[in-house]
Parts: sequence; structure tokens; C-alpha cells
Amino acid sequence: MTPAPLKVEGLVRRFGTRTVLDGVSLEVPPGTIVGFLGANGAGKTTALRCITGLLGLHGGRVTVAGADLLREPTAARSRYGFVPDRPFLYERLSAREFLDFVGALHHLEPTAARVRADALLTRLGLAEHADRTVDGYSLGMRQKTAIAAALLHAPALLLLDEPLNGLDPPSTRVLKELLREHAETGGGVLVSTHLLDVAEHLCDRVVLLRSGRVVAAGTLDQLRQGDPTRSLEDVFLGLTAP
Amino acid sequence: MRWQGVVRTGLRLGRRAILKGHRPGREAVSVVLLVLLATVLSLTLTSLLEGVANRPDADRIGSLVLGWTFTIAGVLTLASALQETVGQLVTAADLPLLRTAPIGASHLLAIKVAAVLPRTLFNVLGVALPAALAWATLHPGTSPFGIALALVTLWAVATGAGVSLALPLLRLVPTTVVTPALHLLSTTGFVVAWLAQALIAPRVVTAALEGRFDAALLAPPPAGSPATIAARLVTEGVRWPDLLACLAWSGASLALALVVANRLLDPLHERATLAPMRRVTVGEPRRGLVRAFLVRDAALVLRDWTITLEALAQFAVWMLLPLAALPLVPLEPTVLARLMMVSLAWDSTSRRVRCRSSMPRSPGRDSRRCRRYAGSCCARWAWRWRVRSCCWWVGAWWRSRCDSRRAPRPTCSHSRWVRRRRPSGSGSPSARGSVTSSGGTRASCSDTADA
Repeated sequence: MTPAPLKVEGLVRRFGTRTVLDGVSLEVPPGTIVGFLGANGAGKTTALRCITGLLGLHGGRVTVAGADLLREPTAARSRYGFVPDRPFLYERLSAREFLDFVGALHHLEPTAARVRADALLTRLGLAEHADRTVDGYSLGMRQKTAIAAALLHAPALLLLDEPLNGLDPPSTRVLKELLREHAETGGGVLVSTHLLDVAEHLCDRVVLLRSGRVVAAGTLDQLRQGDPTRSLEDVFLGLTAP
Repeated sequence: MRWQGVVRTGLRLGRRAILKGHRPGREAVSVVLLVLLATVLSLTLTSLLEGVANRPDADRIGSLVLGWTFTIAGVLTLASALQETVGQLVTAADLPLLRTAPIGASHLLAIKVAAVLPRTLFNVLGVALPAALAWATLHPGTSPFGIALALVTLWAVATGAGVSLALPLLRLVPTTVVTPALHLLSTTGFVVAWLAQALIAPRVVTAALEGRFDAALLAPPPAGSPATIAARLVTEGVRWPDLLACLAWSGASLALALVVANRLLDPLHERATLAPMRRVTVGEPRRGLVRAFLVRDAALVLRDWTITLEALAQFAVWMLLPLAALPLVPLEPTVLARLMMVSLAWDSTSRRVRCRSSMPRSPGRDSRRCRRYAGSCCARWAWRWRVRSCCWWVGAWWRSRCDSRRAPRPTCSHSRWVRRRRPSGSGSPSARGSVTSSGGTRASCSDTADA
């Protein structure tokens, strides 16, 4: 049986005396796109940083495609791709060179990595700019490069923090298609976003976070509680209102 | 991890930093300075060793000089490694990318040590290599392998020790305090080295050339230290005990750095990931643009007290340099004041350049730190946007005034642009005189406005 791309159990994270994540549990099953929603300061980015290992855990357990993040960190990191809210790119490298570097970090065979990188760059409409250095890129082009880097090693899990920042409508469409294709091949996607319409149309499941706690999780139909006229916005505002 | 790809990227980034940076050639200045420093030091030491060559204890003096030069190079490399460790291993902008890649702490350490190699090698190549070359010039039989091994030992021991010291230090003291403190340390070290080079070295060399060099004043460097052993490799050739000692020192130092990095890097990265949240007292809003800028600057300076301290200390150090030279060279008060002002200006400029070149290239972080590190935000702002634009406008006004003396004043508000863009043949006073009444002028104006 294929392990779930992501399983988080009782995640706790404190900053000093303040508990930012209080027993967060969620699962991204294979072939599923999960939306990670919450108001500003709810703990979405902190949760993603804990899941990627950038921040330590004060409690709980994170398993990425069967690899425990604490016991097998290298294996866990090789099984996810991460697009942070402010992705880092080397300004003096071109997109193609940056992807070569990421491929080397993931121990990909150079030729295969180049073929895959070219395919991703073409798909994201970045092929004609791929040999220009990143310092001349727009915000959207940077975001696309980061997305290509996250997808380069075909990870089991894709973690995206506000991935649509700076993307134009055609690129948004392409990204949605890419995420859907990734899910169809058995991968899992966890998208943190505050754009409810994106979550409504893209995600199979939704996890709602409020003050570091999961207040609702399930499919959109489950969240609507049998009332098809309720939009995700109604559900969100109803659950996260103070 | 595939090492070839990572190394190729590192070389690519290094090459472009020198040749195709935001300010091409800025990094190349370091290379030029390194060559200059090495040449001057090599010539000085060659003169010194030639001066004592006829003495019976010439080899002993040469060994002592080499031992002390290697010791100084080691200490400078250690200080440089401390500084670079803070900058690259803990606060670099690419750390999130590397930390989410499937590589261990040892690989991360290796990547970062390789990234700072040019800077940590600076003192080895600028101080130790010229000393070894000065010795080799006078002793043609010196083993190149011995020189290479000595330099590698110096670098490895100092870099390993720098990493091993910096990481525990960062655990105790916040990065925001350590960084300016190390800048201060490096400035002070540079000042001491400058004073030694300017005041002591010429006297020592002159004394040596005149046969007055007192070898008894030169105490032997610490026995068994890596620098002493490295000096022996150069002066006495490669022997097994020294070779093994060098390998042991280098191995132990790098292994210690690896162990420390494995234990401490994750908690330090985690601490660096968390942006410090400070609660500050906000005063009443004030009216007026100038007052708003002053309030902003006051808040920045007072809240970053370590940076203010560093700036004040650097100002003091550089302004005191001419005073330090007073007992040796009597100066007129006006000359002294001028020297101090030049030092101050040089310090302000160099601090800004160094700050910009040493900070990570993350746009947000870069601008934030530059803003904080700028000695006077108001002054920079004023220079950039006010003084420069004022100069431009004064120039434009002067040009238009000169033109208006030669020709009738045109009625079109875009006239000076029209004149500037017009082909040279139509720029005669007679042509300009017909500008206001011709239909072609209106077309030119609208074209320009559209453009």
C-alpha cells in the first residue's frame, strides 16, 4: 500500500510562551490536493516550515511519504518539493542553471535533470527567458522558476505557500493544471492560500486553521454540511470569525 | 548530492560576482588589493631576509620571521573565518533552499566553507604566501610541496577553529550583536596591522639593512603551534614528524568543526529563521517631511545600538589614526584636520561598500540591512534624491538660460526636449525662431509628450 504523501500528527510549536501550533493534525492522501486555509497569523506558514524541517517540532510527528522527518530527515526532504512564500533564487544564475543546481542537490542524473527542467520551463512559459540571469526576472517569473525547482525531482509531496503570488492568469491556469497532473500521478499537494476561490476550484480537501488549531477538515461538501448554496467563503467566515 | 554540479555552480557564481555583478569590477578590487598587499609584503620580507643574510644566525632569524608571519596570517584567517561563518553558515539568504534539500549538515558545511573560500584564503594568500615566497627567493632549494602543505595547514586549522568557535558563540549571543562586534574586531585588527606595516616594519627592515637588527628582540613563536610547524615545513623541508603534525592539526580542526556543525547548525538555523519581534514605543506623529525623516532615523539608530556603536568606534579609530602618527611626523593643525576628514570620508565610503558586498543578495534583506548600516539615512537619501536631482535641475536651468540668451523663448512647455531631440542641422537659432509658429513644432511637441 502506498504511504500517504504527508501525515502530520499532533504538531505543536511554541515561540517562547506563545503556542503557535497546538496539536495540528492533517493528512494528504495520494492523488489529492489539499488546501490549507486560515486567516493571517493563523499559523499556516509556521506549519509549513515545521513540515519541511525549517523549524523544529515541540511535539507531534511528521511523516513524508513514509519517512519520519526527525528520524530520516534526508529521506523525508528528498520526497517533497517546497515553494516558500518568498522563494530564494541565485540572482546571478539563469533559470536553467538554477535548475541544474537544484538537480545536483537532489542527486539527479544531469541529462535527465536537464530534459525535465526544459520540459517544466516550456510548460511554465519560461523557456525563452531560461538563459537570462534571474536578477532581470519579474516576480511571476521568479515564482515560476521556484515552482519548476520544486517539481524537478518529481516529489511525492508538493508543499506550496501562496504559490499564485505574482502569477498572471495564463500562468495560474498552467500551475493549476500542473498540480492536477501531479495529483493524478499519485502525488499529494498541500497548498497554503488565502484565495478562497482558488481553494474552492482546485482543492479536493480543505483544512481550516484558526489560532494554530485545525477547526475543520474535509471535502468541500462535508464542510458545507449538506447545504450546497453555501460557498467556501461562508464556511470560512463562519468557522474563523472571532 | 552530485558534487560536480554544485561545484560548477559555485565557480559560476564566483566568476559572475567578479565580472558581471551589479557593479562590475567591485569584487575585482579585492583581487587587486590582494595582489598589491602580497607584493608589498613579499618585497618587505625579502629585503629583511637579505639584510640579515650575512649574519651567522640568518636561518634562525628567517625561521622566526616566517613563524611570526604565519602566526599573524593564521590569526587573521581565524578572524575572517569567524566573520564568514556568521554571514554564510547562519544568516545567508540561500539557507532555506539548502536546508530543504536532501543534504546533511556536513554537506551544508562543505558547501558553505567552499563558498567562503576566497575570503578565508585572502590572508593566507596575502600574508603567508608572500613570506614563503620571500624565503624561497633567497633559498632556491625550498620545496614547493612544503610551501603548499604549509599554506593548506594554516587555512584548514584557522577555518576549522573559526567555525568551531563561531557556532557556540552564536548560541550564546544573538547574531545581531555578533555581526557588528566581528566587524569591529576586523576593523581594529586591520588598524593594528596597518600601524605595524606603516610604523614598525620600515624600522625593522632599515635596521636589518644597516646591520643593526637585534634578533634577541624577536621572541620565538609558540612552539608546536600549527604556524610554527608550517614555517618549519618551508625552512627545513618536508619531514615526517612535521608532515604528520600538520595533517593531525588540520584533520582535528576540520573534524571538530564538523562535529560542532552537526550539533549546533539546526538550532542556530531555527533561531535565524525566526524574525525577532520587538515591541517599541511609538511617539506622537509629527508634521513635516524633514521631521518625519529625522524621527525615522532616530528610531533606526537608537534601536540598532550595536550598529551605532560600530559606526562610532570606526569613526573614532580612523580619525585617531593621524593623531597616532603625530609623535613620529609633526603635522600642521590644518594638515591634521584634513587628514582626519579624509579618513572619515574614506571610512564612510568603505563601510558602505563593504556592507553592500558582504550582505546576502536577498532583495528584501539586502535593502533592510543597508538601510540599517548606512551611517546616516537622511544623508544618503538627500544625496541620492535631492542633491543629485537638484544638480541636474540646476544644470538644466543653466543650459536653458544659456540657450534663451541665444534664441527667443519658445512658448511650448516641452521646448527644451524638442530642441535636444532635434537633428543637429535644425538646431540653428533661425530654425528655432520658427518653432513656435510652425505646424511641425506642434507635432514634435505631441510626439515628445507621447514618448
